[in-house]
Amino acid sequence: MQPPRLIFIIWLILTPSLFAADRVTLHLGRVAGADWSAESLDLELDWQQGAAAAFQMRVKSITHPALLTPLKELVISCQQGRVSDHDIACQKGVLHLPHPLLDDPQIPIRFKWNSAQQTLKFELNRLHFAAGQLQAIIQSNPEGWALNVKADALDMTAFYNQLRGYLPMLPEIELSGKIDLVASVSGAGTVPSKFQWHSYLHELAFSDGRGDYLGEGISGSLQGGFIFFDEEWQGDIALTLQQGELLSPYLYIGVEQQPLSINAQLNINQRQLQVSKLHYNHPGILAFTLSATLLKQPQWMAESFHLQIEPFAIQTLYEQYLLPTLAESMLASLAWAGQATLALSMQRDGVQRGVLNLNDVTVEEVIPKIDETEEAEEITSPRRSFALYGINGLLNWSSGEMPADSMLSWDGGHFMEGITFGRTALDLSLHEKSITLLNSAILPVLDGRLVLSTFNLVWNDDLRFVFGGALTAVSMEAFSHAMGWLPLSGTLSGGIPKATYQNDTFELEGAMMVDLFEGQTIIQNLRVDDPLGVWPTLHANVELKDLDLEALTRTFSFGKITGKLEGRIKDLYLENWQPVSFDARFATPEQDESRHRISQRAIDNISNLGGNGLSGALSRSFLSFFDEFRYARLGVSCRLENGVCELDGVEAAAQGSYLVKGSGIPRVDIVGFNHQVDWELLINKLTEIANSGVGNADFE
Amino acid sequence: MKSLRMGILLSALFLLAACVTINIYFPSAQAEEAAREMVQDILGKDDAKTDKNTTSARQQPLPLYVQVGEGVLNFLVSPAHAAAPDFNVNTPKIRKLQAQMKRRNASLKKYYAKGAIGFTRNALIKIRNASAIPLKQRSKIKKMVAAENRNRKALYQAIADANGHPQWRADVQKTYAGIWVDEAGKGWWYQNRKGQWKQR
Repeated sequence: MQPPRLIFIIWLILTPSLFAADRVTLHLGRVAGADWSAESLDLELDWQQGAAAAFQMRVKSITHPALLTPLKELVISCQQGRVSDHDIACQKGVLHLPHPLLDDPQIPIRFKWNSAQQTLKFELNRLHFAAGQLQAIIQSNPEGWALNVKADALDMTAFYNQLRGYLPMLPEIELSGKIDLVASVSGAGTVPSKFQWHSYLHELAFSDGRGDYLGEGISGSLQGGFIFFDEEWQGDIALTLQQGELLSPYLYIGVEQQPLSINAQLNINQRQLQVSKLHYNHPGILAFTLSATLLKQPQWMAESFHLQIEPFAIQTLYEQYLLPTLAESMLASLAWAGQATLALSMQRDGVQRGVLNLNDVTVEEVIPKIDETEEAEEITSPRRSFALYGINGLLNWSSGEMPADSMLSWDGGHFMEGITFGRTALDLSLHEKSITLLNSAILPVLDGRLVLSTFNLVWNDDLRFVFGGALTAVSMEAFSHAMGWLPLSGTLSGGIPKATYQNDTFELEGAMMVDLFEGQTIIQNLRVDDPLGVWPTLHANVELKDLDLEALTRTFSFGKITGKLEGRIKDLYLENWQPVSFDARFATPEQDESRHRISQRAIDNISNLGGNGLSGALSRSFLSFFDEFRYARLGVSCRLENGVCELDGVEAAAQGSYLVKGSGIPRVDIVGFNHQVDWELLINKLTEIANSGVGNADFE
Repeated sequence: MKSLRMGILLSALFLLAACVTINIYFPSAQAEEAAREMVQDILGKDDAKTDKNTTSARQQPLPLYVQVGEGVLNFLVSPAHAAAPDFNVNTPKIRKLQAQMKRRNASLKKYYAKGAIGFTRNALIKIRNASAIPLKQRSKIKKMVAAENRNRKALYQAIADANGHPQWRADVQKTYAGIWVDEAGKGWWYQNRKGQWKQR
C-alpha cells in the first residue's frame, strides 16, 4: 500500500462524523513500514464516545526482522482503544495468535502507534509459552526497532519439543529443567544490530539418544551480549555453573563446591570465528586460557589456537575429569601426585607445538576402585604394579618443524612390585607421533644397570616402542627375590639388540645371558603377551650350559651334588607367570670330566621326588654310613602339559629309567618308575625341600 | 500276510531311519558342569548362588515323552550325530577370557545387585536401568558392559573352536544363557525366554 493511499484511509478512519455510522469495516490489503509489513489487513471499528474506540484487526501475515518467521492469521481485538488524528492506541486488548510455540493463542496486549513520529510500542503480556510465561515489548521508530523479552520458568522439555516441531533440523535430545530469560534484540531496517541476554538455568538435564552425552542437575547462568559492527558480530559470553554434572564418552565434569566459569570474547563473521580470550576456571581442578581462530570451509576448522593451562595437580584432574570415563585399560588404575603445566598451540602455517612441564610427579598403578563405597574388591591375580616417582621434565613436542630437545628424569620406581629402578635422566626428541632417545642413558635396575642405547616410541593407532642396549650385572639373588622365586645365585646380563613392544606384545630379539651357578643360561625367543594385563603369557627357549651342580644344590639346600649339568627348556610357556607347558631336559654332559659325587641327602631328596624310590630301603642299610657316593651320570627330563609332567631319567633302566646312575662301590642307582607326575605336587615338594633346608626325605 | 506285515514294519523303520539326519543335541548336565564352575568362578563364590538343592526349571527332569523320544533318537541317531559341546575344554584363550571377566566382575557385581545391569536371554549382559548408575560412573560401566559382551562372545566362540566345531557357538551360548541365570545372585535381574526382565 502506498503512503498517499494509507493517509487517505486514515483520514477516513479519523473522520467518522462525516458518515454518521457506528461500525465501519475496512479492507486495507497490504500495509507496510520501513522494516515491517502486514498482508491482507482488515480493520473493523466500533465507535464509542470521543476518540475512544473498540476495534478489531485481522491480518493474514506480519513480517518483522525481530520475528524469526512471519506471524500468520492473527487477530487483534481491542476493547479500550483510542484513535486520534495522529495515533492509534490500545490500552486493553487481546491478540489471537495461533502459533505452534504458544500454549495459548490468546495474549493480552497493549500498543500505541504514532503516525506523525512513526513510532510503535507493542506489549505482549502473559504469553503462555513452554509451560511458563513470557512478556515481550516491541518498540519501533524511524531509526530502528527493539524487542525485549522476559520469561519466567520456561519448561525446557516443552520448549525444546515445541521448538523441534518448528525447527525439525534440531537434534533429538531429551531436555528437562527450567529457564529464566531476559533478552533484548534491536536493529534498524531488516538487520538486527545488537542483542544481549541473561538466562538462568534450573536443574537442567539433557541426554542424547545414545546416552553418550549427558547432563544432570545443572544450575547456573548463561549471559552474553553482541553488537554487529564492521561487518561482524562482536561480543562476549559468560557461563557460570553453580552445580551439575556433565558426561561425555571421554570426559566427566562435576560441579559441586566451587562454581565453574567460562567467559570468552568472540568475533564472528561469515568466514571466521575468533575466540580472543576464553578463560576456563574450575577452581582447584583446571584453569586455562584459550584463543583461537576457526574458519568456515565449509565445516568450522581451527586455523590457529593457543592454549595455556595453568599449573594443575595431576591427580585431581585425572580423578575428577578423566577417571570416571576410563575403563578396560591400565590408564583406569593409576594414582598420581605432583603438578604439571601444559601449553599447546597451532600456528597459521600448521606448525603445532606443545610444552609439558612435569614437577615432582609420581605415577603408580593401583587396583581400580569404583567409588568409596565399593567393598574391598577381589584381586583375581597376583597384584603386579609399576611406579615411577620423582618425575621431572620439560617436554617439547612439535609437528611441522623440528622440536627443541626434551628432558625427562625420575628418581626411581618399580615394576612388578619388586624390580626396582634407580635415578635416570633421558634426553629425548618428541616429534610428530614419536619419541626418540637422543643420547644413550643408564637405567639402574635392581643392583645392575640397563644401558639404553636406542629407544623409539611411535603412537599411531596403536602404541609401539623399540629399544636396544644391554643389561649388565643384575644379581640373580636380587632378581629371584624380586620375582618371588626360590633364591638363585649368579648374574643376569646380556645384549639386547632389539626389544619391541607392540599390539600388547613384548618381544626380545637376540639372547639374554644369565650367569647362573657358574655356568651360562641363554634365554632366546622371549615373547611376553599382555605384560601389564590381567593374564600375561610368556614364551621362551632356554638353554643351560656348564652349570655347577654343587652351587645349584647348595642354593636349594638339596643335599650336595658335584659335577656339571647341561640342558634346555624348549617351548617354555607361562601363563600369569606360572609354567603351563615346556619340554625340559637336564643331564650330566657327555664326556664330563668333573668330579661326580652325590650326598646321601641328595639321594633321599631325589628319590622322594621321583615317587617310589629305592633310597628308603638303602638308607636303612650299611650305605647310610657313607656320606656320599660316586655317580656316572644323572639327569631328568620333564615334558609338562595339562598339569602333568612326563618324567624321564638319563637312561632307560630295566624298569623305568635312571635319574642317577651310580658308579664304583658302593654303587647307588636311582630309578624313577612313575612317568606321570602331577606338576603342582612336584613343585610343592621342591619348594618344601628348598624352604626346609633339610629336605623332606622319607627315611622310613 | 506275514510278509505284508513285515513289509509295513520295515517301511516304518525305513521312514524312522530317514528322519535321523536331524541334528539334535542333548547336552547332559554333566557336560555343563565345567561351564557352571567357570561361571561360579567369574561371579565369585560369595555372590553366585551356590545352593545346589534348588534346581531351576531347566534342570528339572525332562518329561517322560521327551525322555522316550531321546531314547529312540539315541538309538536311531548314531552317537556322532548326537555330539554335544564339551565344556571341559581349556585353552589359553579361554583361561585369559575367564581371568578378564573375573576381574571385571568385581566392578560390575554391585550393578547386577542394583538391577542396573541384567543377564540377557542370549547369555550376554545389558544395561536395563541406566538411572541406577550414578552419572559419574555411567560411561565407565557402559564401556565395561561392551567389553564384557565382547569377552562373552569370544568365550563361546573359543569353546566351540576348541571342540573343533566353530559352528557350535550358538549351542554353547544357549547353554551358558541358562547357567548365568542359574548362578545369578539373589535379586539380580535376567531376561526370560520371551525377553521379559525378571528378578531372581
